[in-house]
Amino acid sequence: MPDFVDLYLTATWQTLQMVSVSALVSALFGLALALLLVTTGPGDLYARPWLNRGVGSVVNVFRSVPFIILLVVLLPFTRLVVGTTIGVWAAAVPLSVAGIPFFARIAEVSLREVDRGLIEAVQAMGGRRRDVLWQVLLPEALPGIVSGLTITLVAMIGSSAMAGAVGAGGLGDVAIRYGYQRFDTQVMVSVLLGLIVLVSVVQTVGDALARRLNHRQ
Amino acid sequence: MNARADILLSTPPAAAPREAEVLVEFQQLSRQFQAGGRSVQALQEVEFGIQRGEIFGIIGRSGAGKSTLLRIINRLEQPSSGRVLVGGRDLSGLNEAQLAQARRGIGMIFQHFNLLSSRTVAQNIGLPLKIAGVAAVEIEQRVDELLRLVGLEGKRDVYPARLSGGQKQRVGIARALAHRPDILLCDEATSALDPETTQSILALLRDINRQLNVTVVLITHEMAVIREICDRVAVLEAGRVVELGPVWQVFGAPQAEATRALLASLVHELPPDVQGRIASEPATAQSELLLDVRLDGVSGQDPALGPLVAALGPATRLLHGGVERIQGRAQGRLVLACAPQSRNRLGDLARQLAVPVGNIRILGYLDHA
Ligand SMILES: Nc1ncnc2c1ncn2[C@@H]1O[C@H](COP(=O)(O)OP(=O)(O)O)[C@@H](O)[C@H]1O
Ligand SMILES: [Mg+2]
Repeated sequence: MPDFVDLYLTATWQTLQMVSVSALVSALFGLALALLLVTTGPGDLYARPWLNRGVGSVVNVFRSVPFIILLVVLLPFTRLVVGTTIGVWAAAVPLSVAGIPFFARIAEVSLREVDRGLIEAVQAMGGRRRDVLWQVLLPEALPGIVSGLTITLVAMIGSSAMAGAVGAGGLGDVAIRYGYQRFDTQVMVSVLLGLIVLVSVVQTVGDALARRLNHRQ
Repeated sequence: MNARADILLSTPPAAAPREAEVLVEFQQLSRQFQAGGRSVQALQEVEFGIQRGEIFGIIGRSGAGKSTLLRIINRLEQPSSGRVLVGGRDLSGLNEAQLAQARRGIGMIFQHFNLLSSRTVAQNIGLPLKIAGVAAVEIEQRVDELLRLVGLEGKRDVYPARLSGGQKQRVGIARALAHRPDILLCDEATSALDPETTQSILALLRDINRQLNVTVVLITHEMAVIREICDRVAVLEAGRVVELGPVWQVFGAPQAEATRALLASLVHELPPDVQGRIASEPATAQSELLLDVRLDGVSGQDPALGPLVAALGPATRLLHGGVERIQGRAQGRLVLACAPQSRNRLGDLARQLAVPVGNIRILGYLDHA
């Protein structure tokens, strides 16, 4: 059935688009947010305790709203940003909004794990704060950040299927319309297989990259 | 040999006879910390100078304020009051760029090396130059020089995780010397190394001091390190300098109680973890009394442990020592830790062990941190 193959390929492509755009946005803004969280606390490099607490609270708020609710609540915002509330690009908005704080918290953990002694060493050798950021924090945390990005991507693939339920297209959309509503087991199974392959590829590549970057043993 | 040949063959005098120049000067330096609502006086009115070209040691028990003092020199730590002059200059009130610039004249090495795991040996050594904006070609050249200096030519492109502790510290030293500093600060730089590696690192520090005329300030809790390479030593106790002078003088005739307690470890070759915790006074109710008992075999009896425990109490621990039989007589030394109250029962102990009471010496008190 060429119809189904066509549908299947289109849906896969849509999922890839949704996830990659949202992942890119989440990686950039999430990392910036993580850096802000680890460098502005009391006694940190750029100590701004009030800003730190404020940003921390906002992150917590977004982390605690279930994705399915975020999808709905963000509808006006989504229309503002992409001009529509359906389709791949519309789905990328809630996916990114959920992904940014999610990835920020994971990246934050990796950045906090960087040994304070290394920061001191770079300060002692005549490094400024920006050197601490670029020469110590980011490169030392990089393997952990890459692993965190892998986790974020996998979570996003799952969420993107949910976004499919509200008219975003993608594999989730196919699974619900054909597999769930029409009891088409074959479609359901193929969609699931597609998702499994996608997640496995992301995880394998992410793990390999993190291992390559890690020189700690 | 005629006078001319004499001049040609003789090496110039090692130390030019000139006025000693004070390179680091502490003036009425104090530092408090606020920790959990409590105020800790880490340094109190410290006042002394470190001379250019010397190897200066700072000793003291753990928590005496050694690291704080060292870190105030390069401003990783700030004074609460008082001043520190480095090369006649007060580094307080500098902006970020000026302070960074000033720190390039002060190298520092650490107990746990603090090498960046994401960078190779060469990249670690070149980092101080890179962040100072030195050209890549120049960095390459300097890194090669430094690798040769510390004897790691073959490890250029290896990551630190693949190095031994001694090699890591060599990388740390090379990195600290990248900007040709006047001063090298060493915070327990050999404390994570085995004795043999410690010796080789100390030898390297001595060479650097002599050949590059780098003033070395080192802190350690290992008395043997001080004896090995330092010219002068300051003894810190609870944030105060209680003794300061040439090593031969301080170690030969210690004046302060604190110094004697620290030196006990040198004389008695106590394990390093015990060394750092000996105090002249019991710090807490859990402190143990440390005794050194010399068995001279005069009585001809083997030391019985039952009576020993009876005299000192059931909590008595044997920390160090042993007994040798020389012509059938038990000779040796025991270092014991026991309850502080046993201080009053030393006569009893001497009788039980059949040794003169003069053979039992109090080394100090052992803290449990
Ligand atoms: N950042 C800090 N905050 C609170 N207390 C500190 C801090 N740094 C050091 N101290 C305290 O100051 C005293 C001296 O510490 P330190 O200089 O590290 O001693 P040493 O190096 O001789 O072991 C200790 O009581 C320690 O607990
Ligand atoms: Mg210390």
